[in-house]
Amino acid sequence: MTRRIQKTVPDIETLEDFHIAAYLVEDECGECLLSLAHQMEVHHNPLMAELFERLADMRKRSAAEIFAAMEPEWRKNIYMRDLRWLGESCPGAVDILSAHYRMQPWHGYRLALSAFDRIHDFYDEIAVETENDAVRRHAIDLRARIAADIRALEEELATIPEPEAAWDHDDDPPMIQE
Amino acid sequence: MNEAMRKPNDFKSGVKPIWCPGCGDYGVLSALTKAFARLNCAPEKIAVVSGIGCAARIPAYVNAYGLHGLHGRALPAAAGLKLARPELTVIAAGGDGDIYSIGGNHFIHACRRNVDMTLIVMDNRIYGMTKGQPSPTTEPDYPTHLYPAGTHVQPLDGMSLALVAGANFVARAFTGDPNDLAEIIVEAIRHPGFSVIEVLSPCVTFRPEEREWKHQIARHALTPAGSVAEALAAVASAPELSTGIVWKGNRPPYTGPGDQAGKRVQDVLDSFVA
Repeated sequence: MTRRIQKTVPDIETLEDFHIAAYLVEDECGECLLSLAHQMEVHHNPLMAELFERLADMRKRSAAEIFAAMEPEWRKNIYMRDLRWLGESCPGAVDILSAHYRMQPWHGYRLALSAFDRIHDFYDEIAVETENDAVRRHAIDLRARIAADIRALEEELATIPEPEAAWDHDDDPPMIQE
Repeated sequence: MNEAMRKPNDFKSGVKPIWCPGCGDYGVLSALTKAFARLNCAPEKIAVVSGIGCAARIPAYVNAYGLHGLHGRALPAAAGLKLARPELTVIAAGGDGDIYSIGGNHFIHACRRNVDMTLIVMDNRIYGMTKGQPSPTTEPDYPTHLYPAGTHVQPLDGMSLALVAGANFVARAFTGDPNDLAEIIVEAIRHPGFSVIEVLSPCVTFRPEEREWKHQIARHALTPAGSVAEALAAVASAPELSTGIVWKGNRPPYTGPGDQAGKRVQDVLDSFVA
């Protein structure tokens, strides 16, 4: 069953509504992943910094393409709309609270996939429920794009072994040592 | 630059934060920059003022005027700035220790004075920067290195204190939902007078169990009350991790002593002129 994650204000009724919502969702995901890349870079985990930057780039490119397809008039007030989403955070939000300075690619892929899956559900719900044919066509296109990205990530993830249970163990942890 | 095109990224300074990976304060930074974009503020018309602590590093990461000042003293500096430059949007920010303990007295009087500015308290219930000492909001039985069996001290209820001391807007939000927090910040900035937003912001290093807050938040369980008494009752009876706006008052903001002080200042200035 598809979760209901429609934007509360404005409702997605027109192509303008859809483009703006899609842009915000993709951009949110890209920004979260970029933030994670910076967190890992600052905390000396270059492998994860590089991975998160690559993952961020996937969504940033998608956001840029949506932005380029917008009518110039639509672009003016993108960030001045109500930002709340019904029931949960933005579908593109990545769970940054799950990040850890010793995390490994297996965690990174899973974190990103969780957000990518929610973006897919977002497009899927609009494609199924909208009564606007143009919105449906665009939602189906973007659903196909994110589905391809998800498949690519899942294939990469399948080649990575799951980390051992004590992956976050640190011989010199950031705690007072009495 | 086209003023209608300001983006959240326009309000990021480019300095990469050094908060721990997973820290809740990243969500506050994200929300704050979204709120500025939503309000279409000009960066040069914003000032972010802080004290000391992990949370208080935020001015460095925001593209606006900033003051990273003394421990606990964000509020008097912010109030002075707002009174001297009323056209600025002034944000004070800090952690639970900085605002409720070291700056506790300033917090009470800032609520009472009701200068038109917004305070963001990033509450993680621990002193993170100094490596895990109990803060004013730490639970009495929470074990730390300093107090292995807990402090057995009643935690401070910042929201209730804000209400009784006279804050004109009181809310709680969760950093794991930056879009919701951004909207609350927008409302707080727009509301006249002193606005207090307590943000539940997990410390993933010294309170790793706070990562679970994302599953325990009672989203929007708090709604604007009709009186301070009702707001206090709502805070007391709501689930511990409730979010939402609980109070929007209508007290007129304090704007300074007016001409009287101006004359006194002029007298002082004149006294230096031969």
